[in-house]
Amino acid sequence: MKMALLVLILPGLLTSAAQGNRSFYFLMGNELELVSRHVPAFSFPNLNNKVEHKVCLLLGSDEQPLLFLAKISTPVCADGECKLAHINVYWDLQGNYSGYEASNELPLTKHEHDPFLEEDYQKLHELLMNSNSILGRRSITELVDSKPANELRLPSGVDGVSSATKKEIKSVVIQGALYTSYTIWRLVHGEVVDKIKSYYQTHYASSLIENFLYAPYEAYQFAALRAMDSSHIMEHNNRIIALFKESKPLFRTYLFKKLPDNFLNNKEVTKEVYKSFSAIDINSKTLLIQYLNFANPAAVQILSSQIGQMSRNQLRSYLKFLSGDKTVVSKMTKDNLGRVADSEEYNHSYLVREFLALDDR
Amino acid sequence: MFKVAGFFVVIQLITTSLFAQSSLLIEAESFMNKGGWLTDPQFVEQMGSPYLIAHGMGVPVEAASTLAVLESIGRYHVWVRSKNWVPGNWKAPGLFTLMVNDFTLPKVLGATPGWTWEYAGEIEIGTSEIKLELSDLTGFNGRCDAIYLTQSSEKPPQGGESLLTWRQDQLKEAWNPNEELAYDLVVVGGGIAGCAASIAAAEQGMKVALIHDRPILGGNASSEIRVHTLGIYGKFERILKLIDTEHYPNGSPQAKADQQKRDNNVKSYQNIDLFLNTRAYDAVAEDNRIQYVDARHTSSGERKRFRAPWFVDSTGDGWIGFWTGAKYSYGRESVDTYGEAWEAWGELWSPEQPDNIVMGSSVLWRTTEETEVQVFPNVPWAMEVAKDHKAIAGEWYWEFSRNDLHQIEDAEEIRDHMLRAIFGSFYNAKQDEENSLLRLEWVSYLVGKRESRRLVGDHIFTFKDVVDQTKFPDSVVMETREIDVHYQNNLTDPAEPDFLSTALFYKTEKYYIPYRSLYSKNIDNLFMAGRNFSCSHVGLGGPRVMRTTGQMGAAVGFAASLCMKYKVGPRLIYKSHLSEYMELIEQQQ
Repeated sequence: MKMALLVLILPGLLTSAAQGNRSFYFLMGNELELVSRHVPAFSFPNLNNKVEHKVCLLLGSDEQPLLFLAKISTPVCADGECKLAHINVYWDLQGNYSGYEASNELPLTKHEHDPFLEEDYQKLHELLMNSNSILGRRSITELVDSKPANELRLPSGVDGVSSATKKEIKSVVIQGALYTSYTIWRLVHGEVVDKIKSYYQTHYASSLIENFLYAPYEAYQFAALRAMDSSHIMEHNNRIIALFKESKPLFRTYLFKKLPDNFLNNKEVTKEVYKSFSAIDINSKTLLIQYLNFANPAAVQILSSQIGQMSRNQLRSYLKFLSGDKTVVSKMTKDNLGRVADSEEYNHSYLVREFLALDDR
Repeated sequence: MFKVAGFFVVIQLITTSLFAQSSLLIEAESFMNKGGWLTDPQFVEQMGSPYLIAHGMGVPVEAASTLAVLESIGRYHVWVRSKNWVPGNWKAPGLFTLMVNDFTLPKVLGATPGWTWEYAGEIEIGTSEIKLELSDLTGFNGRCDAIYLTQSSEKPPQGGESLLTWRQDQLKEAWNPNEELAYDLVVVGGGIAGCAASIAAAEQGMKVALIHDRPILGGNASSEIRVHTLGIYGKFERILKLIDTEHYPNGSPQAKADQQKRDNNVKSYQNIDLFLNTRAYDAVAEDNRIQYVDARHTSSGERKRFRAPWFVDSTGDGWIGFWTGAKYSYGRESVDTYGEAWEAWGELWSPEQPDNIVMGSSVLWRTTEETEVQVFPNVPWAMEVAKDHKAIAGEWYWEFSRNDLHQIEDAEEIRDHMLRAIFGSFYNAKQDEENSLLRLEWVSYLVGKRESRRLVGDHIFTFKDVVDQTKFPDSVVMETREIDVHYQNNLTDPAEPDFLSTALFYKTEKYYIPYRSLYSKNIDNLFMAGRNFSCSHVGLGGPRVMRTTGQMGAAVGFAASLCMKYKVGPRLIYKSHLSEYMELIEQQQ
């Protein structure tokens, strides 16, 4: 997302920003608008020239930490020729890349000193968003294949061998700015990340748990949950339920594993969670079925109206649960099973028919 | 060779027919002429038998046929065990018909969900010798397990133990083989690890049986699956060069040349007896020692018992260990179990709490450009999986794993899910004019697994061993390739197709695997090599590539030769003969 120029100008940062003359990308919300001051936090070394880059912590008027920021000037070198690249980088409080700005007066440059175009800045932002880039596991000497291009051609036009090749590198970096891309990515995702985490852990980890739990960022929610014990989680039922409904599958799975066994004892909580069955991903559906043992019996009936959403093995697990405890099978549950058994739409209705036939014996 | 039940001499035939209702069970995989149908033995443990599959990539395959002999002529009910592999509100993808003599039964088969006996109809048969013919109607993976003709009105058993017993009764097949063979070493599984183990042991003078359930060797590296071999040779360059591959793109037909090389090289060893198309189905241990492995030919059904003092489980799924009660693991350990955290990737790398998630299986595929427009049929049954994804080739990241699916028990569903992903994605791509000349050239029907059971040895190799670069006194495998653990893309972005994955790479200078990870902790004469060696989930991330598993195999083969020399089990090689063993390995360079 390319954003409009923000009103806030931080002292010591790019002066060109004041002239509305910069490229600016930011992944988070209104954090920058809330900044009232910044304090020095730590520094980290540039592996190219051993210069230390200073990182500051941006604070709100309530002294709450908001972001980390570094104003970076780094040489980008190739074949003995070096140029300086100027860029301000933001990280969130967990060390994740959050955005950058670059002055058009001191533009990033490509081969033969051509300035970056708007699409180059956009591509740089996309590159920096990928913390799993191949650039993280290639040394600078591995970026360019020494073989002539015609020896690299693969038969029948199929590409994409799984090991690193020049072609793979080329697809992720900015055309004509290989070393700029590489150098900046390594700075943004290098040692600074661990230092931010360590700084956060030392200064804020215990005080920000609840803020993080209610923050709109998954990385913060993860950090909060990691730090919370069972009783603490129980105090935030509504938030936990909301997160369960809204989150991505990976987080939802983690959340489910963190739940205390008695979390779903409460009928209303069970209803809220199990009613989301049709809206959540398939892996989380499996977890809901697996947790029937811990849930209020109301869950069984809720799921009976959602059978059409179940995979074959999920249905088998659900029916196995019903077989194990017939007392949980209400009339409505049985009616719902009957409807599914007659369905021509549901791929696995034959399993319900088999179940009901066995049940009738 | 084909197998039919109730094959009697003529006089018996006549006598029987006067007083009894006759029946005949014919296993489809035993058809004399398979035409374009393929034998699929991948899911025997789950659905009971190898079966024939019409893998025509959208073009109906040539009919399969066989001859059989009935006990008596007369009126017969005809049952066909088949499966609608994508039940739903559409025409089933894999449809076929059955012809008996010159009469095609009108019932279209392959239309009923789940493995089941479909009633094909009733027919009057006037000759005791009959011809059966399976005609594929769709080219989209119709499957036939068996055909049963009976004068009885009773339906054959649906599945499970009762079907297994009934099948044996019908075929007059005893569970225990009549034929017994004795070897110095029995290697089960002819992937790269199994081939390397066999070669190493044979070179040291052992008489080796190599049992493999496919017609060709190499497993995931074979020209049937076509994953290139990665990793270094370690101490075993000479042996591994006999069986590895070039670094062609995954799925490349260049795999065929390496296939020829591999098959020829293994077959050139006089003291390796190669049992191809032979799938192990049981193994028995007494007092923690394996006594024998039983195996069955995937087409003829012929059974053999293999006895040996030492066995190698290179089945990938750890079947020999599983059957004999070896300890094993499946899924992801908690991050604290072995200290395998990688903070940057958290739950994606190693979870706080254990779970049943594993890396997925792949099905590779490729297309070719023709000079004329190529039509690819509508595949509505595939679109639920493919959605709007478009593709014209598949690579390693075409991978599928899900927490309700077990990579062994649900392998057929996993393979079928990938077929739907491939056919649907290709159909989408074909709607673009630029792809009008493309034709599906090759789609594997074999599921290429990354991870399943991991047998437990005296040492469990973990990510910590990689991070610490631990040098063991018994380091027999070494590797410089990155550790890469995969996750399904839709875990972090639910909008992504569920059949694509991402790899997380941990760069390493070099790591080592100890010999103690290559034999069972509790089965005294069992080695393991390949992805079922003793490791954690993350520990498997690196060494699962096939030059590394080949190193394991070679190391195991040499260890077995010392076991024979001293008449001891694998553990005593480490405890009492380690210097001699390590010296033997050093000599291989």
